[in-house]
Amino acid sequence: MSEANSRTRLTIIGAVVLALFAGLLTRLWFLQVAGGQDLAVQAQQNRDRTVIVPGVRGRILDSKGRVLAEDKAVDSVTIDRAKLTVTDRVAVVDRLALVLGMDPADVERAINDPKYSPYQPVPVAVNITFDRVLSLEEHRDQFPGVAVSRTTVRDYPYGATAAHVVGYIGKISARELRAREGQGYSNDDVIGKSGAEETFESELRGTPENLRVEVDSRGKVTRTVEVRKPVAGHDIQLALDMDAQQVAKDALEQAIEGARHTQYTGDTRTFQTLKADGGAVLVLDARTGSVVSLVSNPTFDPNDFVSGTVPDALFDPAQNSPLLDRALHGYAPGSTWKLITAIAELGVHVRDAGESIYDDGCIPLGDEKRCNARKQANGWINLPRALTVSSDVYFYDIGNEIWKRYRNLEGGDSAKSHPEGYAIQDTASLYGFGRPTGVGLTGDEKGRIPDLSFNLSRGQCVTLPSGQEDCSARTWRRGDSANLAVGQGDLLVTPLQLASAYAAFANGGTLYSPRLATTVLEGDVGIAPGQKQQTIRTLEPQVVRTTDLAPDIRDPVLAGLLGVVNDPAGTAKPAFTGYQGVPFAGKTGTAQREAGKQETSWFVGFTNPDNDPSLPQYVVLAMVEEGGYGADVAAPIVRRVVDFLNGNRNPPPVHVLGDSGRRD
Amino acid sequence: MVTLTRARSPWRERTSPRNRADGADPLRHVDLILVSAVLAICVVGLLMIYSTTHRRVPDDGLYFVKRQLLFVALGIGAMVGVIAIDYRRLRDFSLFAYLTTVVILVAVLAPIGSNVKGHQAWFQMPGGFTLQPSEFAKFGIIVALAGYCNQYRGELDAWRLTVVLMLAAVPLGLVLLQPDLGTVMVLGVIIVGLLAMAGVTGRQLVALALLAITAVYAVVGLGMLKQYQIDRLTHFLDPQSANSAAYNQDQSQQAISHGRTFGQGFEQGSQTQGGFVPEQHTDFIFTAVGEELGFVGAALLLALFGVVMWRIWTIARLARDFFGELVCAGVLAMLAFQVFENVGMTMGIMPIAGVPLPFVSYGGSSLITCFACVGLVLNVSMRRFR
Repeated sequence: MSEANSRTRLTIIGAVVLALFAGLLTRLWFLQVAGGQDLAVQAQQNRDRTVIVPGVRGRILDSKGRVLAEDKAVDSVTIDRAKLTVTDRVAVVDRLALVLGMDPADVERAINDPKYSPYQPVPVAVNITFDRVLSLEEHRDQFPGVAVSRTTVRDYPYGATAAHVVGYIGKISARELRAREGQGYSNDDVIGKSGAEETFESELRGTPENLRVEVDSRGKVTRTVEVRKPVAGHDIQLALDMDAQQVAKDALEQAIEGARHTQYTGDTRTFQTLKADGGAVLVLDARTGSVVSLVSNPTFDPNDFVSGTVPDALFDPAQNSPLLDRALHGYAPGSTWKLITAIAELGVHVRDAGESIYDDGCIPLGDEKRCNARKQANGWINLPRALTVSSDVYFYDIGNEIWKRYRNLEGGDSAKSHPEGYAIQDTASLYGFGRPTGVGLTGDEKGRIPDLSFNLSRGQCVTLPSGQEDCSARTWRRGDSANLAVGQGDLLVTPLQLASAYAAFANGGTLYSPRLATTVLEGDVGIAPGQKQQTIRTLEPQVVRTTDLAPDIRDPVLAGLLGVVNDPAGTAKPAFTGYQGVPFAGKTGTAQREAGKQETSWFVGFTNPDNDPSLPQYVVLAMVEEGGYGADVAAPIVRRVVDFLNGNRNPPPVHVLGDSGRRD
Repeated sequence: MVTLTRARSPWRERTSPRNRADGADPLRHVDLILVSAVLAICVVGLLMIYSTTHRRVPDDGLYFVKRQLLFVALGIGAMVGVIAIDYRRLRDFSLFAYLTTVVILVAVLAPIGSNVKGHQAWFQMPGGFTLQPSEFAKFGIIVALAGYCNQYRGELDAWRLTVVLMLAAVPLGLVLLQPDLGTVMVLGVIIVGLLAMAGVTGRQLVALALLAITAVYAVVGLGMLKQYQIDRLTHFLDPQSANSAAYNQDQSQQAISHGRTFGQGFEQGSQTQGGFVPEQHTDFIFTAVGEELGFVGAALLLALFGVVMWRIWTIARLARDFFGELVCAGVLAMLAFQVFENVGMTMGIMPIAGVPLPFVSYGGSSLITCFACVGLVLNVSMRRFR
């Protein structure tokens, strides 16, 4: 082998080595300089972890500072499965069950909960008593892997009393988590699910402690990069007065209980008692829209949601849906609606307030005849009188007259606008119907004001026996207008909308959005007892609009509503027998429902009708589903609440009237 | 001059009186560039060992550095020892080198060897030290095969080639039994490098390659490898797979990428300091270089290795005899492949195998072997005029 051959071989080896090094440098260049950003980001993410420690959730207070919801520290027992040996297990579980007063099978089930990772302590019991904590701590050696830790749980001291206003919290759902991305929620956070807990979630929650830390490959924190201090959630002061709330809640329960033992005297003439399967009571401050009381029945205890022992009945429609806030749900308002019809009537001058018509109990409307309840004849009546005795005939006639303008003056269904033919609908919109009230609670329904476009969306043409096609259901008919005038037909209003409208009428025409809370206060964490919490901000009353309620409209209508309560012939006079206190005006309502259902019982009224600035002004509303006559069931509820508002701390219990003889 | 010195026997050379003005004095021809480059690489290694280990021993952040310093000293001692003996005398010891290698490789498989993480590859020594004979085997194979091939220069026919391969197969098989795949690969490359230098024909090389491929298939196919070893070998071909080898390679590539152009700074690499890369002070030490010193530092380290390769290659060219050329080629093949395999696996272009980065990775046996091999090359360089 020659020297040259050897040289060649060495050159080849050198070239191979050179190529290998070129390969390494190229790869290095692409990893570090020309690319590899994604890998570098992953390296950064390896290290950085964000740890979120939720702050203490704020309290919910009533207007007098009583606590309706707060975080309470409790002791809970956890077991670390990793420290529990197979041989110990049965003995430890038995001992633990004995100390905690639980069934060993339940302890075993808690330990095996698949929701927790094997390395994570599993909660066995929450909120255990102090003597149980002591006996666990005393015999530590007998409980390997068992630990007692302090956690907070949400506590609702008033339980069911204001459940629909206060609401409850629960574990965040996947959908809620997605909707709040970037707000620092993690999948084992709790979140307000309903009521004020939900409405004021962002205020109550405050800012969680946010630690950005560097960890090593074992997850051990090596350095804290950034700390955002936790801020305790703010307290929310509601407009609610728990005293009034309690009275209202009791009154509704008493009325429902009484009604269920009362003979149903409705038009069906069947012998049965009233069903009275639910209802609502509202007290609003008419000058601010503040919600002083909001009761919905049946109700629930928010503490059940915290402890996780939610009764199935809460979700069972057969149990009348206790979670439904009936104050926000739509119903036909019946004669309570006549306030709106009366304002419309005077607004477009259908008939002067003083002008009388003769009410012989029935009235012909086109081809059909409409009558008062039990065809009661009221004789010569003007507007105030018609309101006082709640004459349907009078308002059927108004509905008919307004419909004639719709048809004759404005061209009927083909016309583009109906300035007078839609007088009731327009007035209703003005007073906030057909739209959510803006109270901020979930379930704030918008209700429904029927008109031509509604009939077009719902009405079907039918083929008559004669073979003719009848499409009248797709027009705005005389009967529709008449029904609307007495608060029947397709009309739906929520109790909260109705109370707000009466508040606007009472205060002289200003419509407020109902105000749930008045103030946001700094959290009470670290505040000495007795020291006043700082106000973060005040939630001012929200004016929706100011309606032009002229005295020549308000006065005659008010006279009629005063008569309802005070006139010997007034529909609510029996319920207000012997009433003493600030002047009170109101309106009963008995709304018919579909066949087989008893009437919805209504009463809504307001104090201080003369608007004396030195006196408060409240609107009080009661509604009982399948409660029969408003005069018999709803009015006595309002009577008791008004008595309370007049300063009678202990008003007599509600006495449902068997048959007051008042029909509306 | 060259022809004159060639006639002298090594023995006579040793006994002849020293002349300070002698232009052929070996001490005047020590390749200082090669020595400096090697020492510079050692310094980088010591720094990175400090950075990756100073958190691991709570009381003594310098624990690993001090031990590595001791290994460097021992390595330099070994290098000086190798230099002291004329390489041509080593040639006469090639059979002895071969037999010694085989004996220690057999011994480590016997109960006197110890098993760490499933590899029967270490001798336990006093003071918590271990010896890894497969590292020393690299040195032994280079000397032994260079000696054999030197005898049959230009006459390496098929029969002799078969003999060489059979001889090489014994230590290779013993290392495979440990099992230590990385060292098997390095030994294989040394053999190929030496044979390429020794004058195998192109046809023989192709046959060799086929034989190697068949051997690999046999090893894998006959179930001689455990699943994790197959994973390690194949992950770089399929980066989407998920196993512990994948974790290693992903973390190490992330660390290197995290360094960007100028690095996160010494002791500032979060992947490195957080211990996300396993075996980072030994086989994966290049990831610490990449993350903390960036492209600039990593390229500089590769450049230092480049200098080492260039000097060895030059010394091979200047060697006065064929044995010297063969020795240099063997050392060059060994070091170049170890750098390529080690750095390549951290960057995901080579399979994961237990091959240390010469002079940088923590570990005494590897360091001493590398120094001894450089000693061989220096030996060839120093005595090229004598």
